[in-house]
Amino acid sequence: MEPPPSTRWQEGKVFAEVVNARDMASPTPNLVEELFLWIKGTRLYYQAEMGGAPTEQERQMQKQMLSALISMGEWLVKELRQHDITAKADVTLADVEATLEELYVSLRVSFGGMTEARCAQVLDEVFGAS
Amino acid sequence: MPREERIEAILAAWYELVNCAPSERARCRDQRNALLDQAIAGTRSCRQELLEALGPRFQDFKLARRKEHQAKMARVLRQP
Repeated sequence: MEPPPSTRWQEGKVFAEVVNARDMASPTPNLVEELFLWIKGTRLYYQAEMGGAPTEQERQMQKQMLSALISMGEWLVKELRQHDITAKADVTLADVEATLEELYVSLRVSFGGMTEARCAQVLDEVFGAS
Repeated sequence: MPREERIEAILAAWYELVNCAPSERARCRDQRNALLDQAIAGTRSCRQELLEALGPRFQDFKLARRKEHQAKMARVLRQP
């Protein structure tokens, strides 16, 4: 039997549910609050990722959380390009864009499906055969 | 630089990127990407492909760093 999901992934799942609910419930959200929430969510995500290889149930939670963070991040970047209030959160628009870019990297790395053989082939091509 | 050292340098920069303060993200991303660009220069691979190929190694790297951190914390807590 699969062990229960870690507390951090469970928190991540709750976060994703809150974000998805807010999207529908709040037509004019407060940009600064949304930015703080997103930054907190990304921190939560990376903390959960530190916990080692996720179980199948945790992978579902991970995907759900990544999707919510990416969707919210896309919306934030679009809004911030028009009303840049990033200084209020002590970041820059470039930091927000870099964070969003990194979430896409996490999605590809965790769910991209590169085979072990292909991984080895790329590493050998780039760094030379081991 | 030997293969393992080059890989370790990228993993360390990547680790810093995912653990840095939000206000350091762009700087850390640029540092990691500069190492990736150096590595893929003259090959047919792109950044994204290299990151995906390094993914399993990065997972192990993060776990090792976490264990190091926990051991360090335990030593500090044991000190009188």
